[in-house]
Amino acid sequence: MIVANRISLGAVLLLIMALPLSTRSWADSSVALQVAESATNRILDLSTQARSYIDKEPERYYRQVSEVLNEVMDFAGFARGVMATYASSRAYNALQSDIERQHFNQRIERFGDKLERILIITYSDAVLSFKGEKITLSIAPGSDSAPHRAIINQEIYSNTGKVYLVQYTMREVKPDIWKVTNLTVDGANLGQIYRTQFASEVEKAGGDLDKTIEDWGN
Amino acid sequence: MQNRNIEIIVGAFMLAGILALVYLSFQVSGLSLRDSGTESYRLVAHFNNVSGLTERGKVTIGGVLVGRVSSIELDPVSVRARVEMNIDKRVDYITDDSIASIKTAGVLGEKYISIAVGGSEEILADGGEIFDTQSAFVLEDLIGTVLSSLFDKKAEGK
Repeated sequence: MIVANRISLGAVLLLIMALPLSTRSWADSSVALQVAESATNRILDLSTQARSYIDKEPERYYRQVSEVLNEVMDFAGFARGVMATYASSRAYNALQSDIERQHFNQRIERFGDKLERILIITYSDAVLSFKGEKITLSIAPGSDSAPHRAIINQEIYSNTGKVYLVQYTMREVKPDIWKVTNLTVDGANLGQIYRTQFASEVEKAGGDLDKTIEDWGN
Repeated sequence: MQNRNIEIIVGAFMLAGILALVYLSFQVSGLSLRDSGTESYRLVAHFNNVSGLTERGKVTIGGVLVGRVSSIELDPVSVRARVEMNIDKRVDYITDDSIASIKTAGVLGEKYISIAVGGSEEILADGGEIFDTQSAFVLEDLIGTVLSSLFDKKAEGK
């Protein structure tokens, strides 16, 4: 009887200890969802307004979208992920001189700016051409098992009845500050595609990283 | 005497055939007599579709074997495949922004996991999760997507 009581007491204690953890995890993901929902609505509004001036002032539209995306997308981290081993800490630590280290950081920054510009234009144009019926967002089931990470599913309903799935991989970079680190469009992982493309371009350029970055997107 | 020679040659061919079959089955199943003593650590990844990936499947980085799939199970919450991998302990530079993809090798269509290491400063430790994944491409799904986009274009043209 005493043993049974102890076991049930232990179980209750374990439950109490586990409860804040699971609640916290769910709360984390719901913040990520709010961030994604807010950004989607703001960009949709911007694109609706932009239809009246896009032919004359495309830069105005891109600038406005850029402001919203910069709040929610970790462009620097994404660019570093695309450059992969060419931007890793190991590669940095293996450098001999301060000048090389300076060039290393400048290269990452240069590529980050270039990739950011390309992503913003591509994304802005895609949203502008959206003629679908609705967009819904939800937390991907089970994706909040890892702390400070979440996957947000965005379902885009086209007017022909087709549903496109975009998955945003998000990370809590600071308390309650969530940023998108990668995205998968209809099963195709964008980070993976860019990473493979970057490695292949570096190979084609004979290992010349500066040339690869200069020619990227041309 | 000539008959005996023929018997020896036939026997040798038979033996070579059996050895080739044993070698082939070891290669296909991913079994090896050498790697049993290698120290390893565990990484986890979730995939929407693992189509054809099996336990003891290869895990590679840049085409180099760095580990094996230790278990595949279905997560009842996410209804995604949870794949556990044993990675060679010497490969201690898998970053937390790495991407795990399921790819196909060889004429037999053997599935394996390819890890593309990222540029993040955070390194995954034992029990860590590769969060970004690329599921296996299923031919039927791919054909469906192409057909559906063709129909969409046709509908938009009307």
